[in-house]
Amino acid sequence: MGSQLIAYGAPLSIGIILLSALALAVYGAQRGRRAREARTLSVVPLFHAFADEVGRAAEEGTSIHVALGNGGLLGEDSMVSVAALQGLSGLTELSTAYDTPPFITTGDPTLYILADNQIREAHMRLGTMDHYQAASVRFVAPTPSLYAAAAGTLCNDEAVGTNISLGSFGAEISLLTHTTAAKGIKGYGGTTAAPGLAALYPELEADEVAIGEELFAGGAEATGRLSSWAGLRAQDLLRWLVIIGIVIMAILSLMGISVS
Amino acid sequence: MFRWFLPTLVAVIVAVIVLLGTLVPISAFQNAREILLRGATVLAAFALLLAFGNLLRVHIGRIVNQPSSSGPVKKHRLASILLVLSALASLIVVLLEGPAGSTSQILMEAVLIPGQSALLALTAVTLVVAGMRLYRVRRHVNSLLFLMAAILAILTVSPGGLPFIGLPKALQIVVDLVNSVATGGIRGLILGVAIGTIIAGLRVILTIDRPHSPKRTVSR
Repeated sequence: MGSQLIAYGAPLSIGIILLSALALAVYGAQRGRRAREARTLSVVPLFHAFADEVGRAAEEGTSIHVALGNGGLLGEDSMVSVAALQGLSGLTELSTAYDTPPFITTGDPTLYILADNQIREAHMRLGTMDHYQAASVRFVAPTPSLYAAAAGTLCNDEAVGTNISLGSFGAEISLLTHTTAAKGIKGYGGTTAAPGLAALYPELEADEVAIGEELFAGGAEATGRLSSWAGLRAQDLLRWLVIIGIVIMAILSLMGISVS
Repeated sequence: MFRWFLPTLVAVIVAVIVLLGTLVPISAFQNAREILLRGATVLAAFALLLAFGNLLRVHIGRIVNQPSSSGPVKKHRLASILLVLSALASLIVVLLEGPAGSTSQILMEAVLIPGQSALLALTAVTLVVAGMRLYRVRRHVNSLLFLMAAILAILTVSPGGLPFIGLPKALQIVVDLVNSVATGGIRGLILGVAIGTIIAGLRVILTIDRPHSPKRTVSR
């Protein structure tokens, strides 16, 4: 075993050291004074609009449709879907309290279970389990294009006042956004993939869309937890480390020094 | 306590074993990782059954519980009936013949693949319509840049550039400049998402976030 570890050498060591440092940074930063100050800063205005939409839905008697996409828990987009659900936690709590729970559609079975768990928990915390409806979370289709078309059909058929598309999407999300735009449904969205962003960009204004890593700010914006803000600060720190690393590598490359 | 403690404990142990199996070249960890990933795949199959059951329940509820049967409601009920019947028929066919059976293959090749192809073609149309709607939603100079980038992208997609003209050298320089800026932007986006994914995963391993178990308290 020892010889295997020695043979694997520097990359393994660097990986373990980096992950340990990140873990310490995420855990330690939440206790810092700066994390408490950073709480007052708003990173992504999208997540602050959800509370207004819940009130509007309650007044108008319409519902909020949340599209979570196809990012299942076994795939590479699992954390994107988890982050999207965290960003929606404030929405689900508030809308459940107003007795206007959103109806959520997913394109992956594991994501369906997670979303259903979130709605069920919100009802349990408020003591309104008798108001819980299994149809409030729906698995509609397993493939991305079928999912977008089916979600668009649901928005067309039901009294939807607001559509929120948050999660892992490709260009096929335009099938959903086209339907909501044609029906005059207020839209919000965010995704991490470039084709999905290209589909959302023409349909939504700047403060109605979360681009790339802004999606991961949803948990902090929705819950206001210090630990969530500390995670964002760890993200910022790591981003700067990557930028510095890229600049150093570029300079070394210009100087003719190869690092391999 | 067991509603949150046990799921959290299981999640952390599994996450640490899978992480060690990925990073550390020790066969015990790698074997454990493989076993856990296979188990997760089996769980996902059961999740699919649950999700399928939810789909049927929603549509059967729509068929049974509709208050009236006129106009759009009748259309929705008919669509739900068709969906339930086709879902059950497909399930029976695949259970009897297997996914490689002749009827299963016919369903795939004659129904599923053409349907998905049609939807992808429709996606192209909806993207063009969205582009045309851009100037109503975003009245900003960025929209002009977006349009210019789209036109340049169309020019680069067609081989040889414009018909009978090709791609002039000056335009080629602009295209190369836009491509390099776009590539840098895409890479920045991917790097940011990768960093966010790493932090989100670490937060789950450190039990700061627990999507798998009920919330205990919300610390501020």
